[in-house]
Amino acid sequence: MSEMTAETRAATKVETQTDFIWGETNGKKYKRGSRLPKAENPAPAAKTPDVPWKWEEDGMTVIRGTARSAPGCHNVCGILSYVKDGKLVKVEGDPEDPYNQGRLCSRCLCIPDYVYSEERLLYPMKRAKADRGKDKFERITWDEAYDIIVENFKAVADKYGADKIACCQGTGRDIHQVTRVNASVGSPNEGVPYFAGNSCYLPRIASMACMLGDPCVMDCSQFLPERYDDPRYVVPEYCIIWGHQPFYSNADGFYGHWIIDLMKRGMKVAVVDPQLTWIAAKAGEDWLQVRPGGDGALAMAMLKVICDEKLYDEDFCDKWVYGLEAVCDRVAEMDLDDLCEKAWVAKEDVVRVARTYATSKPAAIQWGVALDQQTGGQQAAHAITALWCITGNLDVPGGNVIGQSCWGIDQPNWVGTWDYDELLTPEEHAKRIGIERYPMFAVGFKNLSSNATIEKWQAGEIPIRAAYIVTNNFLATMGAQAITQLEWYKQLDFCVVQDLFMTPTMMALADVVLPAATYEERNGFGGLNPYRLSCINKAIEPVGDTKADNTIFLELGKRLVDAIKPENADIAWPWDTVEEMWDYALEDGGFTWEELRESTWKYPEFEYRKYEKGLLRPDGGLGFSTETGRAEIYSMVFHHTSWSGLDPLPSYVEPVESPYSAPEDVEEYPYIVSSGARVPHFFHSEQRQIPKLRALHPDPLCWIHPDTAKENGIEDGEWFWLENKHGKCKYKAHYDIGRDPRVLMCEHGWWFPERKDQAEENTDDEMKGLFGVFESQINNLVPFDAGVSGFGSNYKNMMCKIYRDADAE
Amino acid sequence: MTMYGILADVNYCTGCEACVLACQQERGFSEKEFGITVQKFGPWQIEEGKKHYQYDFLPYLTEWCDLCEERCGKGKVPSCVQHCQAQCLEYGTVDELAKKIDGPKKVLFPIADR
Repeated sequence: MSEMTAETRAATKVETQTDFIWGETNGKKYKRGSRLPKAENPAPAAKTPDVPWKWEEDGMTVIRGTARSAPGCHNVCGILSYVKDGKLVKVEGDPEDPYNQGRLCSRCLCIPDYVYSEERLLYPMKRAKADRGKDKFERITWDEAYDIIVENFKAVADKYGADKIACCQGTGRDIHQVTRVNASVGSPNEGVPYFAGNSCYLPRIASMACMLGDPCVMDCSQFLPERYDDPRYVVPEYCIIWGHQPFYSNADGFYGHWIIDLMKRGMKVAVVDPQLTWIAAKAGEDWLQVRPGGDGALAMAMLKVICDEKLYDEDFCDKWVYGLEAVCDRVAEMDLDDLCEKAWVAKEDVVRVARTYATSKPAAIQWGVALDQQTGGQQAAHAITALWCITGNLDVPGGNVIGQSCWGIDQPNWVGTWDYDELLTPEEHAKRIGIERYPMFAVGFKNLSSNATIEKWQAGEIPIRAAYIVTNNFLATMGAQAITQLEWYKQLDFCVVQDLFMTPTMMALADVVLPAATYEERNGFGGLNPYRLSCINKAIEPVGDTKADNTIFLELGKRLVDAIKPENADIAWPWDTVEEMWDYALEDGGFTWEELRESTWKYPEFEYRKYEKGLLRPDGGLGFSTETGRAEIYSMVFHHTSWSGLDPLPSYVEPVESPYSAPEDVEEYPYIVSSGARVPHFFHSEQRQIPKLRALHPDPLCWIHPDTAKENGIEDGEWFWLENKHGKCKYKAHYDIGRDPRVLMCEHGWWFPERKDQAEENTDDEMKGLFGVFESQINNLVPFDAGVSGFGSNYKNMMCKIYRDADAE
Repeated sequence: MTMYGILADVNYCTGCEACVLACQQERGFSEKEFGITVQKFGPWQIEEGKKHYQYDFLPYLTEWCDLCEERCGKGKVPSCVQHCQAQCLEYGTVDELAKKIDGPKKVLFPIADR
């Protein structure tokens, strides 16, 4: 993800730079922001299947495209959309697409049901501020909606300053231009302000970017269009799947079933997971049943075994790694027995898995969001990254490989954002919330710090006055202690929510509702990965008056700039259509959006061992894009910012409110519950209103050991409560032996679209209204605290007590 | 007439239920009709003190299944076979499929004469 490095490189410049390079696309001038000068002769794309993007079959038109948002997902699967008389009949996986190779999950197979759902929002709407929470919306035109938004955002900018306007995201939807909406009005505050600790991928991405200059991902041949048949590829002998349910979550551009492809080709797996997932059962003795929140202790224990026993790749470390000696000294001081005890993993298992990983060539680690959702998540990520660095599994076939944005096109990359530095003055940049407190947010991350924002709300301040909430239903999903947060957000002067369905968040807060379109109804290009660019092709006209997110940003962006920051008017949104906007976004690849559509996919030629080839550093030198030019397991970025509490070396940080950091609470709260148990049929809070998917999973489940349940008098399938000092919630018990009896797992994202009628009564009892969103909201129990980096709150390890619904007061 | 069917390699079924939706969409079924369903067997511990578990997902072809007669007639494979994310379903004649049973947990469903 060179976006991060470009940003890291540009970070100091941004403070002073106001004169950016000009570029030109389709005869329209713009400033290139922090992007490097336009490439003269971009490298040609690798060969991909030569297939048409549109044809007739059985009286239907078939359109080849990419299933990328809406609805949200972290994948970019190839699809064939079958259309008859302008209506979407069915969707199939594209057998020619190297990414998913004809496969498709239940959610996209169901997309016609989603597109034509009776529940879909079809028109823009408005509602009086006094009626927030009540179903008193009134249909309006797009022009009227835009006018209301512009008027209210301008009022906030005039009264409080533009930095009090915040564009607020969720995850998984292609809405990257929202960062530009924010910047074009002069506000640096965009992000996920309700998401304690920015606890999703950013802790790991940030950690890798600081250590290596670029992030890594397990190599499943996904960078190569010929996949497993490419002779350059090597199947990993061994893979550690860490805090990740690959088959149901498909996180961050990682198609989970690639793991199965590799198992069929001989790869052995170890699994680090508190619960016995199906893949954990496959791992046999190499299932490490870690304590939720104990991942850092386990990572340090494995690092210690490899360092103490000198199982690292000495030659590789000599040439390419910075800090091996310091890391060896650090772990030498640590007590293996103590680390294993804290991790709740038997020492012999830790030693065996560490040895197997270090001696298997190649070996890979595929990790998940569980690492981000604990106080010490960033530090654990540091330790795990060190594992693949010192064993020489860095950027080699079948190891953990460095992914840089395709042709330097950052928008569709892992945490893609549109560059917008040219739209903000240094004074405006400096108003990003939390920048002074958390240096990792200053050196490259364009998001505001959620925890700094939360602290302001807690202190009685109002850090945000106008919010544009897109692809987020935070009351049901990432909002820690959402009941408290709702009270804060009710203080907003103005709130716009853009989504496909009436969500609890929209019902609670929206003054204006904007109805978004699905990927079947829009043109675009897919991303959230550094492997390839793929075309999103409109198959049908938007249903009702819906519009693509990207179209809305372009249209609204122009109006906002004219009203609020006219000095940006010529450069912020110079495009007439989204296709023209895509030409601009893609130009560093040397092709237009139409040309991308002709080929469907564009893969840049991938290179392994980029550090040996001068492909990572902006100066073209050998090594990594870091201060020392090496893979810094002793991080110089953290060294320079250690005043903030960041540690240049890998370390283990015990979560707040754990049995070890708060032993005094164990008696009252004897259990540990994790949020976010994954279900294949839903993406976070989406799809609950789609009958076929809901039928497969009708109720919010808490996975509980039968012994624990019986001790508390809870029957299988019975509703019961979980509670701690922050809040409580109600779940249906699902007996499962695959966990420590002290550990429970709850699904997240639950609300009940079928309870729409109660929504109007929420002013009397919000626990009943708002589609029951607070009832089975496990994140009611999440503490706000994040680690010293500002990253990582305890979504995975909350202490709690449990009791039967029948015994509830 | 030759008997055709589906071979399921239960060693790799992850329980994602893509097949269930693939079938329902192809056949125009409601949420109450299934040509294929997936059942979970486990987790059950086999030996105390060892991490040895019974934990499988078994796809089961039901009476609604017509082996995608219309679709296969056009030279395609059944929708569940194409979309299976684990690629653990295979379509063919029962004779061919039977020869591919070379280990445990491979389950053959003879379905229809073609």
